[in-house]
Amino acid sequence: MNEFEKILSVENVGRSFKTKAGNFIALENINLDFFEEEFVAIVGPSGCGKSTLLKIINGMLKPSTGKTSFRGKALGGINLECSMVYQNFGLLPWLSVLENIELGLLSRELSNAQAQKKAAHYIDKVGLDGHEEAYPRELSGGMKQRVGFARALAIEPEILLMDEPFSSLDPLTAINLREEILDIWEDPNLRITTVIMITHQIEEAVEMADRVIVMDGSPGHVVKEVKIPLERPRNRKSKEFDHYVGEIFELIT
Amino acid sequence: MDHDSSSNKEIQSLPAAGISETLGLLEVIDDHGGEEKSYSLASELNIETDSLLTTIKAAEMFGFIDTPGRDVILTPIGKQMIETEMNTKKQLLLEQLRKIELFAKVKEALESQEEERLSRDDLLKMIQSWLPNEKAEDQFETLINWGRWGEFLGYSQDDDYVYLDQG
Amino acid sequence: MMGPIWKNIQIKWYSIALILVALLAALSQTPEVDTFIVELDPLANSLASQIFYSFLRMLGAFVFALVFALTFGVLAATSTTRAKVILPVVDILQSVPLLGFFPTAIFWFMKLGSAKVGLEMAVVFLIFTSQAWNLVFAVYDGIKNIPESTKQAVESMALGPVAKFRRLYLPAAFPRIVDNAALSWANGWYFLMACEIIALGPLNYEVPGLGSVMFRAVENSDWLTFYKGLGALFAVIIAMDFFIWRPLGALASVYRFDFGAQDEENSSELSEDVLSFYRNHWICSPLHWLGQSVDWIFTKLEDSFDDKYSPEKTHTSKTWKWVDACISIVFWTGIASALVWSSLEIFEVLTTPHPMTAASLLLAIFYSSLRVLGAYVLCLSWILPLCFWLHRRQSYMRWAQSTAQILASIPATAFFPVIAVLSFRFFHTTELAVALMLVTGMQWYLLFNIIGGAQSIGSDLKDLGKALDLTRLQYFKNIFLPAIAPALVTGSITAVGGGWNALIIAEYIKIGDKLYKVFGIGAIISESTFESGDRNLVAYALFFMVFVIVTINKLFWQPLYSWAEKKFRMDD
Repeated sequence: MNEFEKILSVENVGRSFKTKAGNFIALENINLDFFEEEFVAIVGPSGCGKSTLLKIINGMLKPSTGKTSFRGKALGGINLECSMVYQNFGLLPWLSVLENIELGLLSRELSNAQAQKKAAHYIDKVGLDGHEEAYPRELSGGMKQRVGFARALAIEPEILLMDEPFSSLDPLTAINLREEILDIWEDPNLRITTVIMITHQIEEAVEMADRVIVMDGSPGHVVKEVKIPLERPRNRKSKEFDHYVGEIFELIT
Repeated sequence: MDHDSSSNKEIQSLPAAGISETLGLLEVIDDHGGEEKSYSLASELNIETDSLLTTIKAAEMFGFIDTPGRDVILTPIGKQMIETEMNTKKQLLLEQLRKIELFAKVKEALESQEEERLSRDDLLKMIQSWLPNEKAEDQFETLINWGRWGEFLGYSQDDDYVYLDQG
Repeated sequence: MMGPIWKNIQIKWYSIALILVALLAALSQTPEVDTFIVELDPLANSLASQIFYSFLRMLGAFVFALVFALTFGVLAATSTTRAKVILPVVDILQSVPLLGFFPTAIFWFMKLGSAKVGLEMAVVFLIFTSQAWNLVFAVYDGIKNIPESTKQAVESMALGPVAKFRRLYLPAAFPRIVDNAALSWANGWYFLMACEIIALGPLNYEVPGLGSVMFRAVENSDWLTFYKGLGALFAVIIAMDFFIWRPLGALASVYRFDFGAQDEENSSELSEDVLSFYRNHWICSPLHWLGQSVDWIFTKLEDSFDDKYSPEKTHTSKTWKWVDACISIVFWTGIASALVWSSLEIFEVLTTPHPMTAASLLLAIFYSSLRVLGAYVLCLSWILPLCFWLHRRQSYMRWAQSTAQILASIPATAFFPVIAVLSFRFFHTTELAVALMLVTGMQWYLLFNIIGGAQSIGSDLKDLGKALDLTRLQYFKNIFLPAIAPALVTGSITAVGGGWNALIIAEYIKIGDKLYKVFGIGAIISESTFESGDRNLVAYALFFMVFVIVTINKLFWQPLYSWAEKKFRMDD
């Protein structure tokens, strides 16, 4: 990975929250680097701070200590070169598919015509053509997540963040969407260069990622990084696959 | 699977499966080298047999798989579906959709209308008459879902009409 | 309705309650009686124009209530610190019998303009207060219940504050507002009638409107006009239900996050058709223009305010920290100065010696409480059996609910003069009239809450009753009552609150030259306002009454609700 440039770094980051009971330390001493053209997965038990970390990478949360830097510059707020996809899709039920995607473009200086054109382009990319006027309630989980992807891609970020994107989907749809997101990531015509995905399924992480960051809680910290140098497409039944799954599993337990 | 042999112009009802699910099924069969037993798929994927059978029925209706006995085998079109990029997938899907009787009947019904549109209620009534043993609302949902995917049909909930998607 | 909000309110409420009570009482003034002249507007004589005036007042008040609710609901939902102040304050205002402050309102609004204008504004203000509180909770609820993923998704879009309000908060609050709007209007009608009656009774104000038409009719024993007025009111309420609330309900379904829960019950083919008509028919184009102009206004606001919002600098942006600080300063200064001023005022009032002692005031409150309690028992005596009977015969339930909803929208206050006159004529007692008036002000809250509680009794409990072969009485005591306990408490709290409100008019009502009054706190307030103009007594009485009510609320009802909920919770 070293021939690629560093795109994002998390330096000495810690984050605590004030609760009624006192001070809760969610993350401590996180030091991570992310590079161009890599697919990174973050795994760990629930409550270990993965989502908090993702929000800090996004710029939505300010770290209590340390800082996040994007291409060398420290983040002062929301990082507009990142976009995020959510487990529960995060769509607005009163907007159509097209309107949901256009909403993400609102704060970018685009005219209505430009915004619509961009939205249409990414609708096409994720296969939502024909669904533009549909409302979220008419869509299955898989379709809703496609809307989530299109919305995230439409702002043409360099980094795509995903918080358990496939956890609310049935197994077959999840299989299908994993393939498609890998295709999108590998597409040279799209600006997306780095993907950071949170998952609680180790197999999913090993199937998709170049590198798996293993975290644990109390307080949230990085245990180890495991590189997965296997060629894609990866075979879940192969010995090597099993080996990595086992290695990561042991790190967590 | 089985065709009702009582009449020769029998319309098949649509199984309640989504396109993403169906594509996922094709991927899985491909991973197994293009062929597998349906019951071992169910246990491997940890899916209810019921729900898997619905997806299998859908894939078969599209001609993406064959189901001799308990096997599921990927057809050449099915193989093509998972290997091509998105727009070709949609084209293939559209071609296969045209072959499904219910869609042909809906197309006919729409074309016979002045503006080539039908309100949801009107279409539901027609569907119920063609498929008296099925719940029309469920058929409608799958019909629109697949129709939108193939860019064959469109449905505007706000204006309440179904129409033929000309591209 | 009210239950879940309470759990968030901390014990600090008591001090807030005191502040508010002191503030309200300190504001109390009585309008000077002799500056008023009867002004009969010759144009305002037909029934149609009276209805029109009443409707206009309701509409104006509702618009204010909406703006208020959107402002404070959003302010509360976006900051837990603000919520800690705003929610208890609104909750207390909800339980205070604001009708008692009507004369005060007249006084203050008269200062802003002529007597007539002041009176109108006071009426609109009072109606506003009856509509606003539940809307505030509705907006708060709507925004708080936005799913986490949606909140985060919109957050990371880095929208400016105007855009966020327009595209997230407002749509999210919309279905809750629609759910509560009919109730708000029902409350509004109640207060409208009450204000028009108070204005007409002891003093010679004239407020052209439906309530005054009906009051005058009773005064003159003109029953035909009375029934015509009643019919007109009924017609307006039904028309609003059909043409406004139901179609809005159909529209609101697309805005709900928890799609499916509400829809099965409320949407109907008919309301969808009406909605469709509004959307598509050319006659409705003024509606479309209105919508477009609102859009245009929002876009202009977005362009001017949101441009200055830079998402990349949200962590350190000085401009936005400064704006935030300003809002906080204004907010907290307002609260602090209200606290200081009202404390000084009420201290002055309480330390001024007054012929009426605290003891007799407390006695008056005691009598009034007895009346409220009596009316409460009367209500329960017909509501509990009815609900129990309906519970066993589900088929009548829907029909009963729709009927009750319509009946509940008719403001009971329109009937107060009739009740007073008739019960005195036939029974020679005013106490009965007071009791009946109280019952009408309390029963619907109890009814709807208990029905709601009964509906949530699962079939497994009903089957248990059959399996154990319980008699009707045993089933009632051991299954029905415990199951509806939380709903019963909620309903009781709102009902008792309604009772106190009704008291203000019920204990002292002047029709023609006949005065119907009893000894109670409501009567003391009204009398000292309209007869003696004794400002200090008014302040005293209000302060005591509100203090007692709020204390009972918090020390009795709220703990009772928590206990009932814990003990009789239905889910596992």
